[in-house]
Amino acid sequence: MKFSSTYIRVAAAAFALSLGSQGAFGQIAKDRLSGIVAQLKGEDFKGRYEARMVLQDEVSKASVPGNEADARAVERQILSLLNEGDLPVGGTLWVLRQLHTIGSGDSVDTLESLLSSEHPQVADAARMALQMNTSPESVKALLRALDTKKADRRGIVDSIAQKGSAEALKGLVALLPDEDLEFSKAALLAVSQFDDSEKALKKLRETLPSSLGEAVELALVNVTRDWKLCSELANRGASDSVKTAAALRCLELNSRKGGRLIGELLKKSPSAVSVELIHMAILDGNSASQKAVLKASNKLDDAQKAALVAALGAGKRSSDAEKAVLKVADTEHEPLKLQAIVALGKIGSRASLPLLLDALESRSREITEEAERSLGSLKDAAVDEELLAAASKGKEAKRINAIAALGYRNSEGGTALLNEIAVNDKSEEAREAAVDALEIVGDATSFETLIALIVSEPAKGGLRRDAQSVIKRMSLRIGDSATAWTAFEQGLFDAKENREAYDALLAVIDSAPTKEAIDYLRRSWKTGDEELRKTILRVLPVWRNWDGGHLLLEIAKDESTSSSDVSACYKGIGRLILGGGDRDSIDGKFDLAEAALKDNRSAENRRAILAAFKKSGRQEQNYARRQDSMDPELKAAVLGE
Amino acid sequence: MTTPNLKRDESRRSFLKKGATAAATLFAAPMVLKAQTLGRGQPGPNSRINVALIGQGLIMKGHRAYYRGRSHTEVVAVCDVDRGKMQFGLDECLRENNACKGYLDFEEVMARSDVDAVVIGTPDHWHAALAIAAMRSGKDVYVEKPMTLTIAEGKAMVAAEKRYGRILQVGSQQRSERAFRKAAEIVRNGWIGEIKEVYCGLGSFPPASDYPEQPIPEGFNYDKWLGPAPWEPYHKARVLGNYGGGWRSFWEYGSRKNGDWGAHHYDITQWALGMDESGPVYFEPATEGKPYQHFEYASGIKVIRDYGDRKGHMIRFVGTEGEVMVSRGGRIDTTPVRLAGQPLGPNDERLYKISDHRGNWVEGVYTRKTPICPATVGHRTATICQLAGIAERLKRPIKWDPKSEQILDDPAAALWMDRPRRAGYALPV
Repeated sequence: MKFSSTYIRVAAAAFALSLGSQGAFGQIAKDRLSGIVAQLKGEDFKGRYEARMVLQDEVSKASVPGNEADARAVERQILSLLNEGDLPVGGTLWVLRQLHTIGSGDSVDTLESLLSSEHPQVADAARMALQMNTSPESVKALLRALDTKKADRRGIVDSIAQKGSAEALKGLVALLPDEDLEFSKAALLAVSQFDDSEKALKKLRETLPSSLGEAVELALVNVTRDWKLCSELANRGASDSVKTAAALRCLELNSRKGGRLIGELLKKSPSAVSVELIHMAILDGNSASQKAVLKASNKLDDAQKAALVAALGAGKRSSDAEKAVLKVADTEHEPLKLQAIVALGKIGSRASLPLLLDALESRSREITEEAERSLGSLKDAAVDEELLAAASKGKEAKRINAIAALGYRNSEGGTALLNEIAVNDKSEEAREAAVDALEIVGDATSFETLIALIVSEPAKGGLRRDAQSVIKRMSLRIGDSATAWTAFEQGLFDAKENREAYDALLAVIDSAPTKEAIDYLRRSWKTGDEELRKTILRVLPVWRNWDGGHLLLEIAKDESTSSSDVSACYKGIGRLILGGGDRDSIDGKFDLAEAALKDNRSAENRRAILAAFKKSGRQEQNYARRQDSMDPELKAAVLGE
Repeated sequence: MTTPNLKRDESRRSFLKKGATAAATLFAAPMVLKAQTLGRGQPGPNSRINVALIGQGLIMKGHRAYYRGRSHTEVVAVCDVDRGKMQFGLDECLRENNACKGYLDFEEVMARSDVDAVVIGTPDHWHAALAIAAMRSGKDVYVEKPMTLTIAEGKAMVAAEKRYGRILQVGSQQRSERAFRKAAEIVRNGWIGEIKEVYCGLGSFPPASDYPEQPIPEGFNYDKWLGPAPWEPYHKARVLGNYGGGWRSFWEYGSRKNGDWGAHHYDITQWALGMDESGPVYFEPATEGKPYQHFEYASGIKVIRDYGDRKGHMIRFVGTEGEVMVSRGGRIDTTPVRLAGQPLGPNDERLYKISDHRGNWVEGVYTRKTPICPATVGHRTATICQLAGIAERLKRPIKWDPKSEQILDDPAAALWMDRPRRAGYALPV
């Protein structure tokens, strides 16, 4: 049915005006409802959708708990709309959907009659509304529809299945077998959703054609309580899915017998037992099934062993599980060893320590990485005690191994011990291992340790270089610039008489990117010392915030700065901008660039800044577009013009 | 329907279905199963996992590139109800495997016994039916987020995963990103004290609309695209794949932003709070007087959507002793600052650590190791997305019992836990 555009405009206006008005006895207000209807019938598609939403809101309001009278009133209004039958199909479907929420027994007659609608979509929507209807009458209506073959039978059996009544089950079973294979499958699927359908399904298994064999068996596994049948299906089911599902069902039915069944299957032909079953028998099974699998573990092939350790690793800690994984881990087979090491990280204890420490020395990077991770996650205080003791004394190789392990574990007292070893140990290798470990587990106290090493170690020694790189990375991780600066300040003071050590420390001062450090560098620049100036020009371009760039700019503008250093300053600012990570504010980046470009007439120096923006991302480009007063050359560089 | 493809039609029996002999062959090869290195081994052609890709829309582009490019996987089938999209995906996959076939009907993919695993990248309203059908046919499943469209579908998927012993991974890949894991570990281990509030940024979609009927394009099975969803006339805007709207704007095919970004950020919230086997107890929509949607856990933790200061991040956890802010791109900030770099101690809880979400699934297909986001986890996250959506549409608060998984004290709202399906599209079990 079509309406004139004038009518629709008037109706829409009425609709808009009526928003919020109340109807009598919880009904939707008449003018509001007529507005909704007009919109649903109209050609303004946006308006149609809005009308849908308004109707949904009205139904929602009426369905608030305790509003039973309102719900019935609104339901009656909706039924009237349906019975009048002058809504377009789309509108009718939407109205039918509202009955999902507030449909009661009162709706059943209307819905049943709509099952015969000339529009298949409306008939199916009526079926869906009956499915959602909680009244007992709705089941009867669906069963009647099945008898009379109204609407799409596949949909009706699905709806009946959702109802779950005994009457519904009986009706469904009577339909089988059907000449339409797809319908038979749909009906079987529906039957299998009834808890008490076992008897019926058993009968169907004997009578249905073999093309439905797997479907019946899967349905049976779902509901059966018959141990004998279940074990038969676990041995001789129509497919791997049936066998696995049946064996798992056996476990559910009787854990002891289920475990034994899995044991028998493994004994008879270990290779025939699926990896899925092995996994599930461990993870979702019980002690009987776990024992059965563990007992047969020697006979499992590598794929099954991989499944076994994966399941053990995901399960509960137990010494039996750990022993089984350790047994599998004792292999030259790298992928399997890797899986076992992963599992030990989850369920291992002190007993796993020797194997994991050995694995740290593996030639395979994957093995060493997993061993590091697993060492870190062993939940056993004895592991920490043993590592702390082993790191302190004993043979050097074992000590180094234990020191490395402490680096993955962050044991209580571990960092203090590593600090101590790094500075005072007699073994150079142990000291190196301790410095390496500090990168991961060093804390604020380790700044002092590393700075002491930079200051006191010989210039050509590896330990100073290690300490320099570790302090940079460690400070990034810790992010405690203030504590870092305190340690640096003391170190610089201590190294005053040792120029080489002083320079080495200054070269990594960006590990403490504070205002105080910047002031210190400013003062150092002003001393005019050429060596110092070189170091400053190396360290500021890698500063971790924009302060380094502003100091470079200040230096560039200093009259005492040589022209080559001025050029180095602008290049340094460019490098800093280019390397600025996500943490740095975009405002700060552009402030620095604009400051560096302002009154800067040197083409070379300007280029050094602008080059840093050549590969600007979307964020920078959007920023530049919003800035009216931005340096035009800078804007063009950012926007790639 | 199968597309013509005459170059090579060899039947590959999969690793798992070949049993021990093939398994021994596989493991004899120097293959490393670790997720990050899955591409580095040299497995024989018969030990590869045969993967089928269902739904060739936007999200499948990355999946195609991934599974085509790995030596442990072979893309043997692509499927889409749109012939053009199917052909596009097929043409790409034929470059590596000239035996790859294209299908318009997923049932034909499920019937192939040589397909080991299925990647589902369809609109949300198809996720559950396809995933369960695949698991029932003995295939492992990677399904895009959100895992489901209804709470009942989630329960059915969890049951199927267990019943058929399958490996299922939900595409909530933020769990595989270092920064999100670190944030979750900081929260889990109590480093920022007791959590009080969580702020999540989901953004918004334009409202859906009704549309005039358009002719269905040649080669597009629109009825099957709709599948279990209510019938509506065809219009290209309805089926459009678009991260800014398209089908994602419709409650019928997705859960709008609750399911789109909520499936990521609420997922991380669940993980961080250690609620993967439970969930919130109360959902409140935005109202005139309260311009934000939120939900609450029994402990009183409030999760607030698109409101308040997230300090430039996607998620902000606020605790009694500090804060964690985290975003994609590896961005994490903490108060106090040191927490972001603080290593875990031996007694700290360590969360599942991986960096390759798809690789983690492939590894699971080989080893049966449970992946980081199985159906049980995906279901609980999707439940939040759906309950938030139900409250939004009903415009009233909802009480939820995460133990019995029931909406409390509101029988009408409880009916929204599932949706009836169109005839011919019943949910498999």
